Amino acid sequence: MTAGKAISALIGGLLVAIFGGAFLNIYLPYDLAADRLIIGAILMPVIWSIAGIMFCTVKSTLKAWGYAGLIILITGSANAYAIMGGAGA
Amino acid sequence: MSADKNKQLQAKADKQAGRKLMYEGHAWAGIGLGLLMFIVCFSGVVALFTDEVGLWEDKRLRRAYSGPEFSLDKTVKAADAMFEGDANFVVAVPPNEFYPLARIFLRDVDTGHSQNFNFDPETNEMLHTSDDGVGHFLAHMHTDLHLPKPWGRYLVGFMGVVLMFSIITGVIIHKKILKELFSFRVGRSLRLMITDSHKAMSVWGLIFHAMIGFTGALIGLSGILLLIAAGAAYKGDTAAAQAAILGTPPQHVGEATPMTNLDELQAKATQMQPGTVMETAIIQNFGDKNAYIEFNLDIPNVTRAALAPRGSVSFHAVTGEFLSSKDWHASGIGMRIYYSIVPLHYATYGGVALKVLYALLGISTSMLSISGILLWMERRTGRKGNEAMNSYRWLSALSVGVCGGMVLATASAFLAQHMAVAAGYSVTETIVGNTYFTVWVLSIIFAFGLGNAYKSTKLLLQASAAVSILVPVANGVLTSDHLFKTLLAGEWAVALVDLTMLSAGALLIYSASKIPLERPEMIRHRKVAAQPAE
Repeated sequence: MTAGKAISALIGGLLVAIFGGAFLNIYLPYDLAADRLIIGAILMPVIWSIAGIMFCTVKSTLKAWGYAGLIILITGSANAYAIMGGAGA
Repeated sequence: MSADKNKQLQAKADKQAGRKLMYEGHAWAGIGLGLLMFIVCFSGVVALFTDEVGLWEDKRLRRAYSGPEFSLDKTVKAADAMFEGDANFVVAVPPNEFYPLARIFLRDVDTGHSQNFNFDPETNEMLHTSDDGVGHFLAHMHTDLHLPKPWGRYLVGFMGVVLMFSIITGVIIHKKILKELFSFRVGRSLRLMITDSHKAMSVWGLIFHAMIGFTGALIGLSGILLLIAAGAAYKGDTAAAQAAILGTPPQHVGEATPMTNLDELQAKATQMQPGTVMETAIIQNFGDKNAYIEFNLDIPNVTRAALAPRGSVSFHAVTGEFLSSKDWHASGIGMRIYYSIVPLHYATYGGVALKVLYALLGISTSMLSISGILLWMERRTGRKGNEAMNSYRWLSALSVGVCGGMVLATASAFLAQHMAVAAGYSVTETIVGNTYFTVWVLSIIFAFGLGNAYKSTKLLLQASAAVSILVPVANGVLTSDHLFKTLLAGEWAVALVDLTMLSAGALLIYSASKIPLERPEMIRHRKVAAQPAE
């Protein structure tokens, strides 16, 4: 494993966790906003770990960034849609 | 047929390559951050007993638990009169079996200045402020690593994520988890012993390690997590996100007004949720015309035996007007999880026996970092070449100095606490802190200077054992509260600290006796070289 891959796992994992966690903060199917916020927030460290592992297991770092980018793009678009008044809390 | 076989071989090779990458990720996390992980985990074991150490360090605070009754009104007002500044946020905690004193925490939200006051629950007399001392110092080591706020806390939270990463990768790379539960090969090579210890400790404590990493990450990173949540769901409005979880805070009016009788409000609150007792009381805008008081309530006798409090009742703290009543167990899952995280991490929900179990499992979490590093080093020393030996030497010296030195520094901090009090110092944290870091740095220098990891480990463990055993002796001599006296008086918290230090001393002596003075391979090589050629 190279240092580049380790740093990618750290930063890429964090980015996926931020966008994925924010997505859950908005779209989790709970009635109470507090439930969505808390459960979305507590899942962020878990997403960070799992996304970090994804970076470690995918052979090509570039390919791993591709997967991470795709997740960030999808969740980021959904989050932006909600922030602009489309859905969510 | 041949194509199928090739496909199967390719799939197998891919699987192995994936497992190898996962193994490398596990090793990278362990080698890069293993020592920091040890620091966080070991300081966490000590931080479990912050309450008990708080009582142990000051003779004036020692007494047996006599029940949860105390005057909230008198103690809060007395603490406010003694507070250096303008307190506007108050937390009151009644006596409990871990800490038999009433605690009042005051904070000036504008300046950030805060103070903790301890009151005798029977006389309502202020005994001592407990913002200094070894308990506070070691707890701060775990929560913030004594780094500037909030960076220390974020770093500790990040270590929780690293621990989760290591656990998940560890579970995936170890194919035979159940077999490893019972695999411990005694009397074989050092490398096998370390391998078996690492795997057995990982698997037996798997749920605990995962829980402590998860809750630690949440507590440490809660500031960032809330910011992200607020950014996404509330367009960056942190206050709105906080209000969604905790309710809207009262507006500060800026007109100084005396509080109503808080004891009467406490009685009203417990009447409104029958069969409950106060667990904590939180006053916002204390001293202001618009002050609110919230009583967190729980069922008596299972207080601290439940993860989340039963419910809460809020009043206006000036007019006494009822504001709201909440039953957390009947509300959403989010709030129950929110209130469970800290008790789950710090073992405040199940009595002393649970804390001891947490401490033992916490030591195993700390030992995972050391055994992981040792394993990596032992594998590398199997390779020939100067580079491998050089990296072995410096990494082993660093590991021994950091880990062994931290154990010695912690024991020395306890001893320094009593020495400082005996010497007449009223504020001991500076002396405790200076002792702690000086001993730690000297241990690291010692480990590098000696250049023999085995010998330096043995000597550091022996020194830690000697200091650990001296701690209860010093407590008995300097405060005249020896172990038998505290046990007979029912001062369990003080007795527990002394007993823990004695047990740690015995364990360290035993561990030191099992460590050879140098690498077993070196002894074997020398014996072979010394044999006369036939």
